[in-house]
Amino acid sequence: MSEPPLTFSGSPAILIERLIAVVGEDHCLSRPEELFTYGCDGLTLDAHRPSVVVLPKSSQEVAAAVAICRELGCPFVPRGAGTGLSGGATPLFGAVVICCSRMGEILEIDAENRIAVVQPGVVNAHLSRAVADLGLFYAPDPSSQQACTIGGNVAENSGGPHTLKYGTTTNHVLAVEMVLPDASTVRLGSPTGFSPGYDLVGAVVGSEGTLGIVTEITVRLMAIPEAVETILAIFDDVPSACRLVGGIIRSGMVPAALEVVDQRTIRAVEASVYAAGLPTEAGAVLIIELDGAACEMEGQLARIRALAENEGVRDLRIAENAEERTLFWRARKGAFGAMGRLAPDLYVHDAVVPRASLPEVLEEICAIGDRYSLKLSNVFHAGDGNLHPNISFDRRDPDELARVLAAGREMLELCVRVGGVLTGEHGVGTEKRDYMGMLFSPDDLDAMRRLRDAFNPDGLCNPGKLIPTTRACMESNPKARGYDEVPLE
Amino acid sequence: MSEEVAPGTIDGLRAVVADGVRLLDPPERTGGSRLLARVEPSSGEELAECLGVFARCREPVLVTGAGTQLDLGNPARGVSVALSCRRLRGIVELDAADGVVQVSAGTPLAELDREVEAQGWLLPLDPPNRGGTVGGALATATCGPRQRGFGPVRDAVLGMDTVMASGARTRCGARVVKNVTGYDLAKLYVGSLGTLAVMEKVWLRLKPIPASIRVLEVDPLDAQEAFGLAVAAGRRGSARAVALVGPEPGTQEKNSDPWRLVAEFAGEAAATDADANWLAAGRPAKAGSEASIEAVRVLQGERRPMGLKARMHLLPGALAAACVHLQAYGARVLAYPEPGVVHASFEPRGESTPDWLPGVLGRLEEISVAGGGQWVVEALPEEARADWDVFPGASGLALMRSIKERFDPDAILNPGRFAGRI
Repeated sequence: MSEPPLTFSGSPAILIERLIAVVGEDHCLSRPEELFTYGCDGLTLDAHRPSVVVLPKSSQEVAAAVAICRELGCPFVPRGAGTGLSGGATPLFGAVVICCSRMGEILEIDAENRIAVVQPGVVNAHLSRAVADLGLFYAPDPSSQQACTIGGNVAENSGGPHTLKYGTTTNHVLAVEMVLPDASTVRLGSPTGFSPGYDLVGAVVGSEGTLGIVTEITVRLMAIPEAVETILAIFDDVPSACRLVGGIIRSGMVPAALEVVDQRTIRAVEASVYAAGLPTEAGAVLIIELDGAACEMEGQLARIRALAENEGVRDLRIAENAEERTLFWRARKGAFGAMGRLAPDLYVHDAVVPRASLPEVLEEICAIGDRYSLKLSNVFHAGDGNLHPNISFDRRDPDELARVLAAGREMLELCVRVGGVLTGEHGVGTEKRDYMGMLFSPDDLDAMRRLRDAFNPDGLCNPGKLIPTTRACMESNPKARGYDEVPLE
Repeated sequence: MSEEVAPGTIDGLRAVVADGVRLLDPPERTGGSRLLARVEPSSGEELAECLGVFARCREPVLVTGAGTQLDLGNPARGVSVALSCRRLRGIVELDAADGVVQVSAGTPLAELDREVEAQGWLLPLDPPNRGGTVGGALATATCGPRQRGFGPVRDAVLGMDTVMASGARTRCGARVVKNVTGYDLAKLYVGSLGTLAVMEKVWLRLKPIPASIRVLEVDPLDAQEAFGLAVAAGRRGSARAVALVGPEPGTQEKNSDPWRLVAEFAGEAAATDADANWLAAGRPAKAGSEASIEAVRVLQGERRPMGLKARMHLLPGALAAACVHLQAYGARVLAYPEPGVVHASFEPRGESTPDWLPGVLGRLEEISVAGGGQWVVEALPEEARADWDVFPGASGLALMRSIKERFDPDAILNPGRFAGRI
């Protein structure tokens, strides 16, 4: 099995010269202050300086850049908008960052067959906007959808609030073109969604950029539903909201979204530009979104109302129009931004538990936060059992940082103990790589390593991610090296 | 084909599972292989130890469930021993609150269907042959008329316990409904015809039992109207199955309106009623039932010994032209417009297989290319199986071989069965 390579030790000058010949001087960044921006993604606790950053414009330029890296023995890391939260785009080992943000064209929209072909740098929300007039939308909608790219979504198998009904990115990617770590270009899958042989598209989506660089994506588009109802169910506490989630799942209804926002988050949101009139004295709000045929809505609303009353709901508010619905969602999706009001730093955790265990797990997670004297808030995809315990803190306080990391580990251990997993949508990256042993045996990890090696045998493509190795652990560890500690020189 | 089993294999297997090893005398012809022995482990531990024996003895093995779908794929190469998983049976855990179930791979589908429904849920697996096992349904990833409602087979799988060719027991995924922890190896295993690992047990996601089901049959329809209507029906919110059945080959001249549409709507009563009323409006529609869907499934599963069956995946916009071509070329056609699957069956008309087959396969390729589609052969005359790869045009074969070499370096598991005879 291949180990990740050592830090690039070749001549940076030659590397830069060769890459400039491919992408041009304007799109090859090598000054320290330019590289600083690309030292990490949204996991700012673990930043590293890349050798160089290139911004290719085409699949051919990506392939040429990969060929140079390979020839010179330099690791390389694909990057989209850098909104990931697990360190997937963090350049370990002095890697070259191959940033696809300039590859931002929607290449084809086929309304008859409900597919679109896009370059990886297309911003998620832009695609839905582009096809809205055709009555279509692109379903995966991560909270960062105004900035994150579809290429990044493919790498992380991103979800979002509406995955409860529509699934994650893997359910919407039909085919990809990708540059493999040997610099060859392949097309996998087909616009029909079927291709004879192993499901290589299924393996690539969610592989965190460790199997190659996706340069073109064919996605499925969905019909905009005829009717949508968005409901705020207001509760005194989070467990009651979670019990309603369980009741809805057991009832057989499949809402488009079931999202819980706790009191601390509500207050942060209401004090921010994302304020939506959420009741700041409420213990929790459950956002329920139903969509489908107009004739279904009345019956489902009545069933939701009855179930909510059984759980002691304080109030049910139904969005009266599209503007109000947008306001509710702006509050939900702006929650992470609003947390900036609470402390200089925010650690967004991501884990999944069986939905029926949500009330008990949430109580225990709050107890962990209290035990470590941390400012904990929760806003999460309750319908999927996908938790996001958010810890607001100040990294300049080493003691507090240590408590944040210790509490995070305990929360993950708790989730695994009840049958859950380490991450539902943010990915493993560097953040959880060394926790993989909590969930998987050495043989389990060996099977994953075999898949990685089939695509990426010499380990140059995004080394040090997803699978624990001794060398990767020494290179990268969230508590060892912060974003503000990356040397400029 | 090997004439005997590698030394130590049978003794090794008997040491693991004394009551589960059977020598076959005379040899049994199954799935294009000549089998001398069959082993049936009854637990995950026994399965792992059996595979350890095969690995140590370098004896290739035909991995099966109930053995009902061995026509699919290429014949295995050089296997003399079959390993059947049908004694790995039973539900491990059914979480009715969460709508998930963990089940051993050899559990009959029908048995799991019953157990799950008794708990108020529905198993979203719909292979044309309902007599097989859960593991078989996942390994073949075949889907019947309800793919529109159930989604592709892979979407039902949350996690898997597998045994590798080395005998190592591994796990991927979990019981939760959303998960990106590590590579999604289950996606690779689904549809891989058991060439990468052997499934021991799986976590499956269940669907709610619909409150209302409406089935309608509409006929006769001319091709132009049929395909437009079927695509539109398949895009109704409550559509669970929409099938277009073509006429028996050679009969269309006698009937200018040969196509028959069968549609099933499932969900809230308000939605199914609205969708059924939409379909019936102004058309000669009659109410159908579960039997109507079952008849379509039987048609899909039908196998004629000298015939050829192909499955084509096409974009909805290319369906009509492809089906008309297929029909004109003598195929019996069954189409599922959403998600764009066409099942085409051919039979020779007095010609010998070598004379007839190349022309049919060539025409299938032409039609598929013209429609921007992909296709596989699902059944061939037995005599032709060794000569024709049933996965034409698989892209990414070099990667597939690389994966196979790393997962099963000694080509122990179903060698030759898969695309490119992997």
